[in-house]
Amino acid sequence: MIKNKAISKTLSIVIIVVIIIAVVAAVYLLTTPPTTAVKEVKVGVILPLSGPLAQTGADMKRGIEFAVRKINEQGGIKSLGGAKLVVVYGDSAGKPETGAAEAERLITQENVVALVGAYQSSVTKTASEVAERYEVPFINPDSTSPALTERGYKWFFRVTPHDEMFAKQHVEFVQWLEEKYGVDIKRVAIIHEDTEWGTKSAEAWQKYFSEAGYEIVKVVSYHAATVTSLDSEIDALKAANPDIVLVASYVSDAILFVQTCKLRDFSPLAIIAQDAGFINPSYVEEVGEDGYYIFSREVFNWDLFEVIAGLKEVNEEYKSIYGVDLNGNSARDYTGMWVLYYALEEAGKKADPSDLKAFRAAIREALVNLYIPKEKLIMPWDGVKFDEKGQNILSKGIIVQMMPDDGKYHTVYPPEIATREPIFPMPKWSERT
Amino acid sequence: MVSPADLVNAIVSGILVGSVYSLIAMGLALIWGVMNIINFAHGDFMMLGAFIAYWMFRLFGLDPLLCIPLSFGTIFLLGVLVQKGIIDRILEAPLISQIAATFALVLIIRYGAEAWFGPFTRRIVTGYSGEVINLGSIILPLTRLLAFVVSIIVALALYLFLTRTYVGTALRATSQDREAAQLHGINVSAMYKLAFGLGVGIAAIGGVLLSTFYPIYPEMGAYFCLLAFIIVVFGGFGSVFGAYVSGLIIGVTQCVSALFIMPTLKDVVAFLLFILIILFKPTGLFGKGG
Repeated sequence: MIKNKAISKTLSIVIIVVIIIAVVAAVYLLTTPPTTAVKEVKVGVILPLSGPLAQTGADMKRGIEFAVRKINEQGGIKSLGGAKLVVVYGDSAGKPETGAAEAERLITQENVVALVGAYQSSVTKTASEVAERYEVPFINPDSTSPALTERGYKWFFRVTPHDEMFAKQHVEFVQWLEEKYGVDIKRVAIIHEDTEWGTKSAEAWQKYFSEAGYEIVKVVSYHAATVTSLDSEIDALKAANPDIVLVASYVSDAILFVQTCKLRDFSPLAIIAQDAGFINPSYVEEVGEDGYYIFSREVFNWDLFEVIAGLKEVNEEYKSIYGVDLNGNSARDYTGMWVLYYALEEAGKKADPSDLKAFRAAIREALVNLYIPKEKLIMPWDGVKFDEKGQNILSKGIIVQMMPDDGKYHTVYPPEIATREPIFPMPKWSERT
Repeated sequence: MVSPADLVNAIVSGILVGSVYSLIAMGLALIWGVMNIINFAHGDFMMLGAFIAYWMFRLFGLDPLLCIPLSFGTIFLLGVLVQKGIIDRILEAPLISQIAATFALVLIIRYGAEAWFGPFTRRIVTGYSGEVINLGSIILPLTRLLAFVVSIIVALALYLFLTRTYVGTALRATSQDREAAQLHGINVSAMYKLAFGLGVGIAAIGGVLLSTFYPIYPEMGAYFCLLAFIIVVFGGFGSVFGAYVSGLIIGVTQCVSALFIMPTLKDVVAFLLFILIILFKPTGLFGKGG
């Protein structure tokens, strides 16, 4: 009896294994399209498709898919006889080591001509290390850690602006406010959460604001995971009597910050935030009127649909397919794929994908010399042009402000794409109704 | 550099926030004192209390302060069930099993809440959320002042319950000597349920009070639970009133050190003070013996 049971157990395991293999094979055969005569160019895309950022990853994947669809619809890569763009996805699960392993798989097993990804700066860092080693072009549409383009990599190209560029833009924005409103701003205070992101943001602010002649009167940091009250922090800022306050926070601490400013009647001329918590949907929903008048930097905003030529049509088509509007992530990844497309057109004139090594080198060369004017983009940028470090120097952020009439963020800077005039200075808490 | 007004403000801030720490810690001390169980999930019961207040406010417009009895009652019952279903079975188990069991409870409650409500941050804004009472240069936000008053009332009620009622006396007897209490006809098992229910119920009240001035999210209990542990040890293991006073001391230490040293180091100073006290009086400030 006992022996029989043991046999049946082994047998059942064997059966299960056979079934699994059969199912996988069936799915593979049914879903893999038959090879066609039309040439294909295979591109690898690494995104966090599972794990805590799965939702964000799925959103960016839509941007990629949509770009590929549009590119193939307009005739594929013409210099390669209308070759279709095909994407092979790698799932980083949000982990740097998995991202690197996926990059390796896409390069050595899938033989992709280039890589695109990978959202989180930490993952982009490791995945692009692999690409650099194999001499494969890596296009990064969506990571903002300045360090990524300071590594001297030859095969790394970042399309999005990074955090230091945002800090510089904050300085320009403040100077613009001074001029526009005839106000003298001198004293700047900073409050930031103390992980790498907040600390680096604060360092960049300190650097660029002091270079521009502003006085940094106070820098306060706190630990977002353990903060129970920001009373002392706000009191310290208030005591330093700054004209403006720069803030880098996650969600719940951003709410606590705003609440505490109100209760302790702290009203600088302006509060300028470094996106993150301040543009998170749950912050926007919960902060209510206490969040009015606060500025934040952004990469994209819903009201740009009215301002950027062609964006509205692109968005309408996107929405008809996916049911949601383009946002900062999907729009940047969409743009990243188009940047790759323009490079592929150039590369196709010089090499053929059958010689992988030569073709990858040709893509790199095309990227180095690439210039895309802003008319061809859906982003609020001046265009695409990479410097010798691989950074797109024509990209930039925007500044948005939460407006009291509808509680939404509106673009107020740069002026050429602004949909509203900024409200400045911020009304004092006691004067609000 | 530091003006007297700043100092008074820091102390006031510390007492106001400390009174909520105290309440949460008091519940933990009660559970430890009666049952010798380390309840890692304490902060998560607190979080549930805050969420009950949030949903009642969101769905029915019920003021969080009026939600205190409901929050307390619900979490009390949940505590009794947990005691009956889980804690009761591990009372005699090795320490590591007890830790594993209450830690499993943490995971279930915290990530259950996250799966159910989503990882989002929420807040309660009532008509008086932004009210501030200014006494000269002293800033007293109304929500915190109310939290302080409620905290004192709850602490006082617990004191009267433990010292002036038969059941309270029985509870204290159980905490002093379980077998002797049993010999005197006290239903120890019922006392345990009462202690656990009361302990987490009081934490839930702390959660409700927090919800009036602090963002509400599924992971909010983690740091408050750590603070509560430190406060309980600081106050002398299982000393309920030691825990209350220690909570205030920790709150004031945080705020005053933020003023004199720097805000970033406020937790460091509070924990250093804790280590110093434990070095010189291992049983805690109000602990017996040592």
